[in-house]
Amino acid sequence: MMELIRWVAGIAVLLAVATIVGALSQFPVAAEDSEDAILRLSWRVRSQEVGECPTRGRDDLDQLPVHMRNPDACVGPLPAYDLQLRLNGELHLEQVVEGGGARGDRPLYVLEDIRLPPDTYRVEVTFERRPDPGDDEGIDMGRALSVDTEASMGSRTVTLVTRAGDTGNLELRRPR
Amino acid sequence: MVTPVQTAFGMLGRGLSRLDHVFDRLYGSRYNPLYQSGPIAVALFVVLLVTGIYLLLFYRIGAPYESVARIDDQVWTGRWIRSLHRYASDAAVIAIAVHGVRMLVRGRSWGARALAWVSGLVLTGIFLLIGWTGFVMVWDVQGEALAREGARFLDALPIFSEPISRTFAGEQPLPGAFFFLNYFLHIALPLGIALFLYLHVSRLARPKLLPPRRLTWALVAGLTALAVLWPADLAPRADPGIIPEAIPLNWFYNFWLPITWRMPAWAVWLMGGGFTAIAFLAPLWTRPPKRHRPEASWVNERHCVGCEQCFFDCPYEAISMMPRTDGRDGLVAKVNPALCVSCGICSGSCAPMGVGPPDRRGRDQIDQVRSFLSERSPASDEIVLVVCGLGVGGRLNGEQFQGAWLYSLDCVGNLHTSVVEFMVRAGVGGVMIASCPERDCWNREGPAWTEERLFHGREAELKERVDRERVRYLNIGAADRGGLLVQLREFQDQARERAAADREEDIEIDTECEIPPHEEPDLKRGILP
Repeated sequence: MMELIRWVAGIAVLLAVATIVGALSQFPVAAEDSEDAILRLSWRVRSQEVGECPTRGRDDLDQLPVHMRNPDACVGPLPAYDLQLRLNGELHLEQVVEGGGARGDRPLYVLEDIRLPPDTYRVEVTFERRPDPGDDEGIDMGRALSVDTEASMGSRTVTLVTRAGDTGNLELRRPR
Repeated sequence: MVTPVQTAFGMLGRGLSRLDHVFDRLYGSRYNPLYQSGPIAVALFVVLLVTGIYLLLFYRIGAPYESVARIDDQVWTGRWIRSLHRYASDAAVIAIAVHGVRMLVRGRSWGARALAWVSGLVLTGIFLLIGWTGFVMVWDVQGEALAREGARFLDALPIFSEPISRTFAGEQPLPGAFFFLNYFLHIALPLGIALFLYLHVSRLARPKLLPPRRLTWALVAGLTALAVLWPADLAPRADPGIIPEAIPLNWFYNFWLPITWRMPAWAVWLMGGGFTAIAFLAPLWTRPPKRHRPEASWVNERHCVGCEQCFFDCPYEAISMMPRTDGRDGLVAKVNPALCVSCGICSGSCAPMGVGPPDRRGRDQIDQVRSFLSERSPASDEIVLVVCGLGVGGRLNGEQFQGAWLYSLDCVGNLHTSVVEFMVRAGVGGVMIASCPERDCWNREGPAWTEERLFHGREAELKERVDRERVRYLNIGAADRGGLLVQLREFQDQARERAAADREEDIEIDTECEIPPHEEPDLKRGILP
């Protein structure tokens, strides 16, 4: 009799452990309580180069390793950019975006997730070069990126503001 | 002074012993899975390799989710094999956690065992990383959440000029390189497991890499049944345009996700780094103060005859045999203190009693048992109960038993068989040796060697002249006080019967062999009447 009880208890424990393994292997967790939508701003821009770009002579080039012998070597920081987001005409986000990397000489990038209640919004985004105090008047400020459109943002959806292709202007679309 | 850590470990240790006891009663000590958590993890790793190879045949880097869904559609093969892969990995995490906690609580994480502890932590880390890549491979909502969190953590480091998180922003479809890297890691990291597993057991003489066959097959059958009856769900496909309400989370691997979601990345690094540092430094904070650390074994070369038995018996390969330098021929044993954990198993292996930790060599044991017997003078119907201080003996401190005397050793594997012979010849009713379960010996091979020395002629063997009826050996869990008492009572009854029979026999012999005084033999001249 005791042996039978032992067997039954042994199998019951085994089943209990198996059930725990099965349940904890895929037990759902609430990922996000809010019903908010996300407006995601994400793009990358190769900034204008504003430093000096002297042309190196033969002697200078010979001193460099072969793979670094570029005659047009620009030296100096990249300009910063102003990012503005307006929702239904109201300024929602304003940021100065500087070049990436430790020396600030890498491409600029924008990556912002903005949580919004689901609704239809007029979305205006501008991203343009920030003038430096020392800039000459009439300097070419390069192309500003912008978008101004209406977006219907559903509950728990992500709407992406990004560039059309690698070089295009900003657009709103679904992430892929 | 007892530190809070020691108090906590003591409580945990008692809890573990009780759990061991329950599992001992259910499955017997040989098949108790808690005693073999390490080998079970290795066995499950083998299951993961076999099922993983099958799954890789059907996995496509270009269409990760779709290929997993196709595997899941194979009702007779793919679905349960994928589920078995998942459940085996979950069970492996449980086994690893149990193994780690047992080693830590029992103070098997410092000194010569530090390498095993540290390599075990690295193994655990690799295992979790393999799991991480495995979940990302599926590219369902859970895989996406893991990838995003991983990218967020990396972005907190000043390494990349652009955040890795932009990869998952949805600007472009995810590059195939991402899935290839993930796939590569999932296959390559198990090689790291093999390397660190080698390191993990490198200081053991006879590592047991797999559990007993029946237990292995029972595990595989149980997990397969679970996989067939309750296949692991395939969560919805990852979609960067949707914020999922809930994620079916694997709590064995990804338990941290709900915690880190709400934390800044730097705080996650701080917390993770803190936990990792605490775990890796365990060999320092778990070791006892210097004055309480047991000393390594040493060899008295005058007594060593070079028989090599201690060299064979040492579970930690701390003893080597070297040519003698004292003018005698042959070999002499040398102990490497850096490898010795002071288990004392060599004490019981040395017939001439020339090796062992200070105060625990055979000669010391004889001195101790002599004073023990002279102080207590056990009667011929009384028992000496030899217990392991690391096992059940640790729970019987100071306890007194009617008709039995407690004799506690640091580890039963230390016991020199001459001590048993000494007790029997001193006239005790019996010697009962309560050792730990074979797979739960703190010093790995104490129970196995002790039983062989007592009953199967292993050096230093219990001499044939010792009445085996007066010697009983049993394996018993630390919390099984009740079981010990039952065995003790039974053995005591036998001892009493034997003592009574001896007394009766004495009377009979006296009666039968009574020789009338006038017929006494003349022994000097060899003349019988």
